Amino acid sequence: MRVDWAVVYRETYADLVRFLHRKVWDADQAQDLAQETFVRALDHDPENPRAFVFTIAANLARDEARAAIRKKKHLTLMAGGAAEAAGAAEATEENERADTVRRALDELSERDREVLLLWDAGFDYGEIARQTGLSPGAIGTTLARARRKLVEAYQAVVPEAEQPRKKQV
Amino acid sequence: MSDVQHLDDGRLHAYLDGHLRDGTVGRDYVERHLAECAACRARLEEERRVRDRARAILGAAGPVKVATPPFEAVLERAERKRASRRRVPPTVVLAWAASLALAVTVGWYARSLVLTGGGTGTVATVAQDADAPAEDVRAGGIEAAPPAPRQIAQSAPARAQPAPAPAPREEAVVVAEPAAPAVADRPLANLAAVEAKAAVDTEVPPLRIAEAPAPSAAAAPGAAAERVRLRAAPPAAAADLAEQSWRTVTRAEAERRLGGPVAMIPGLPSLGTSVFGTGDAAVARTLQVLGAGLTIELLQQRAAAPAAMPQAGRAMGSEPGQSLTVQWEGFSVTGRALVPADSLRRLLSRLHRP
Repeated sequence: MRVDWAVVYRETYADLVRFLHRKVWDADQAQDLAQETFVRALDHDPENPRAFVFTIAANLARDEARAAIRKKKHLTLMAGGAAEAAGAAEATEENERADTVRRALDELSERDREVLLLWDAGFDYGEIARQTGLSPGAIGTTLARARRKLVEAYQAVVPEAEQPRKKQV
Repeated sequence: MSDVQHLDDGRLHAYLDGHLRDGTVGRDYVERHLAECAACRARLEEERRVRDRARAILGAAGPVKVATPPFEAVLERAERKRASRRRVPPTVVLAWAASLALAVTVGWYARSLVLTGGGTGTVATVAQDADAPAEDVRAGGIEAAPPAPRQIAQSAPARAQPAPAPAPREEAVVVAEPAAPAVADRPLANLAAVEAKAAVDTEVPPLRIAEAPAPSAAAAPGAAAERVRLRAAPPAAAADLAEQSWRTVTRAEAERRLGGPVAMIPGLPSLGTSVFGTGDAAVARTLQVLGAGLTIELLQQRAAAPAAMPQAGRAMGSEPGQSLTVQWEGFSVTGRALVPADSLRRLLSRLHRP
């Protein structure tokens, strides 16, 4: 069976960009990596194309993160330049919010973060389990922990005034 | 209820997420428990808020709305990537350019040397004192690396010593050793010693080609005629050839002027043959392609020709590549290429009548 990558692309692209964006925190780079992901996937014929695509994307994002660490200064300059090019106060506000989420996500363990992001990208429990190597029964527990941690961490970094209704956990 | 285990967070989240269809603890069980347990109902609502809140937080991270570019963009990108992978690496291009430049340079030097006769004057005066007949001289000369003019001048005294000689019959330029037995085996041993600084000849085992005559056998007995030396080439140009010039000709014309077959290595594309002079003094030069950016040059001349082969390069000593002379079909054939000595010898052993 040949995978119809055009169909997979249409159905997955937005989720993939969202997933990547929460890993590289740059809209342009997320889209670039999403495209690159499909370029690399084209030559393959996997059983589960969607999972395959996310695996490639996760690897690309990880490589990207490592490269970013290596030449942090350089990338910071470039990202700064890109943000300025995009311009506008609106973008800045958006960046601020994203940055808050980023910091909250950083509080999570790597596994919890991965599970949460996969769920956010539309994966069901079975897919998340296959993707992460966790048992299907552990996904609910992991998600519960990850969500609570995210909410707590987010509330810890967001200024009081902006916080929505306080809730106890 | 107190004896019943309450639902844990994982089960509540799985229930909220709609993923309890196939679990060991199914949806029915959870719903039955919830119906009876107020505490778990409260926790379920709490977890629902946590879930929705987490979803909202992640959603706030953007990007808000991502437009999906057409799939063709991916295909184009893949094609670009493939194309860039196919593209010939710059090093290969450079290698081509370098070898082409080398071939042109070698040809140019050969031409200019022949036309001007420059540098051979010194050799000619040295040769005046030599007593060996021309044939003998050529036999030795063709096996020796031609020295640069400066080097010839330096070595002149060494070679000029035993010279009670009658004048040579020809104006042909000769770099000669007396046919003393010790020297016959290594015709230019003295010269080689003097030129230690220059490129060192590398001797290889004799290449025996059945048809090869030994033109110098009479004058210089021994294995000298069949001896093959790297960097071997006759050192001088005949004066009467100086007025002639290289001309690219068809193979038939080349064979007519040589009076014999044109030396070629079978299986290699030929870039053409040019000929210099006629009759016994004719020299043919054939270029063949060895591979990407690599050519072999074959200089061919009557083995018994009285005149030395016009030589390429005033500075042969610094010229890159190997050269090797073999006797073939009554001709001396000097091959030159940027390949290891072994390869060059193998290539020349494949010479056959085209």
